[in-house]
This record gives sequence, structure tokens and C-alpha cells, in this order.
Amino acid sequence: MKADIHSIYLEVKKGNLIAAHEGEITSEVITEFLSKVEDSLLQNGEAVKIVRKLYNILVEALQNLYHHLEIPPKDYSESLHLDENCRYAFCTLVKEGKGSFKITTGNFVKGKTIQFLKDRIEQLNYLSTYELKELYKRVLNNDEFSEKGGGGLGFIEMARMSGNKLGYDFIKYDSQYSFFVLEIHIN
Amino acid sequence: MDSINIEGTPKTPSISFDAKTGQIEIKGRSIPENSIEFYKPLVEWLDKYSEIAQGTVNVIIQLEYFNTSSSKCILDVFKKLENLHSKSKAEVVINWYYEEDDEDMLEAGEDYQSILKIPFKMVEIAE
Repeated sequence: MKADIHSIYLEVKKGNLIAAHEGEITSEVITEFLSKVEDSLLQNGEAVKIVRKLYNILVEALQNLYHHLEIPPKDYSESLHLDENCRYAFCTLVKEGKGSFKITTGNFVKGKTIQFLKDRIEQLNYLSTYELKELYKRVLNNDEFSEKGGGGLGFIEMARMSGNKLGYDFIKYDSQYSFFVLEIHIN
Repeated sequence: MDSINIEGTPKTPSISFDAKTGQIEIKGRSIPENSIEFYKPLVEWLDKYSEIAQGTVNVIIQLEYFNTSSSKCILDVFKKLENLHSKSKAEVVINWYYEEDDEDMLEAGEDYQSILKIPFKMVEIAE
């Protein structure tokens, strides 16, 4: 039996939910999500400092999805009644306690990307705050842009901003696809 | 030489590049999905401007948020300004604004300062 991806989404949005999106990731969806998060957090009286931090990390997390997600396998899209080419992913923001939050994103990946992401995250989790800052500056100044327009800084920035290790999981879906779950704790 | 004036949007900053006064401003939020597309004309403008620039070029950077792909494009803008500072008759000063308690924004300015050979002024905005 194939992994029940949709239930992962239902699980991660449990608790004190600030915002959640499951479905197509477009530029407009990102704009709306960010605006909703900012309004909710400020209305809830959260400190401006933590709002800025969450906003910055969410921009990177959502734009990583936008640039890098894989369109889901056909049988998955059909099971959720999604369009065949729906750029499906999810993103949630949950408050875990006073000044403590969790951002979770989920998207399909396949092929070499799986090992690449594992290595990337493991490498970042191994680095100290100082080393992350130095790596950030080095990559910032390397004049390289990927073909998708990314600067290779998204994960570094998320690790640096959160100040915590990045949590992740790859759930095997079929012989080709896995589902990548990224968990970022902010406090 | 024409100036550039672009109004800000929720994802792109307001831009005012004035060749006559030498005032260059980037203000607001810079979080577009495609930063290269947004910044390309600005970098090209600076190339042309470097041929005629003189006096003081006052650069105002007052950003609330910027994403990592913008951060590379902003560095490209700064590198053009650095070139202008060292090779033309003009003197460039970058004024990097940050809100009083926004240490991350101050640190981002200091990161640029450490990479570039150009005068930086950190300007705190009191809340």
C-alpha cells in the first residue's frame, strides 16, 4: 500500500494552527499565505521580531516549493481530484508555545534530488551559527544562479534564521517518487 | 539620461534611480519569485550611469524584507556601485537603513559591507 500523504498534512496541522495551505503553489498563493500569516500573528499580539523571523523563513520555504517541487504522480493527483499538472505541495504554521512555532512543508521529489537534499540538510545541521554565516556570505558572493533562478541560499537562510536543526523526512511513495517533509522549529 | 521610477508592490520594492540628482533608492519588500527579471534593468541602468556619474551618489537602501534570490541581485547592484565608486569621478555612499530592533537587517547590511570595498553607513530608524 502506498503512503498516505494527505494524512501527513492533516497530522502536521493539528494544534494551534496559524495558517495552512494544501494544493497548488503559485505566486499568488504565496502572496496570500504570507499576508495571512503576517496579519494573524500581529493580531495575536506576537512580537514584531518573531513575526519578521517567521515571515523570512516562510518566504524561503514557500519559494523553495515554487521553484523545486515535482508534480505529483498521476494516481496521487487523481486520489485528491487535483488537475493532472497541479503543482501540489503543503505548508503549515503552528504555534507550539509562547514564542515557539513550527513550519512544515511537504512536496514530492524524485531521482537524484532526494540524496542531494539529504546531504544538503545534513551538512547544514552539522554547522555552527558562525559557520552558517560564513557559508551564507560565501554563497552570496559566488555569482551563481541555478536555472530555476534560485541562489542556493534558501536552506542556509532557513537554518540560520531558525537557529535550530532542520527536521526532515523522505517518505517513499513508489519506485520513482518520495514525499519530502521539511520541519523548521523557531523560538 | 532617463531616471527609473517604479512603484512598490507587496513583493517588489519601490525604485527611484535619479541620474540628475545622483540619488538611488530601493525601499520596501523585495521577495519576488523571479528576482533576476526585476533587477536586470536596474543593473543595466547603473552600467550606463557609470559613464556620466559625478559628484556624490547617495544610495538609500531601506528594506523591510528581502528573499535570498534578491540578496544576490542586490549584491550585483552594489558591485556596479563599487565599480562606479572606484573608476568614475563620483563618490558613492551606501546608506543601509534598519529598524531599531531588527538585528537581522543590520547584520545583512554588515555582511554586504564585509564583501564590498565601498563606504557604508548603517542608519537606525527609531520606532
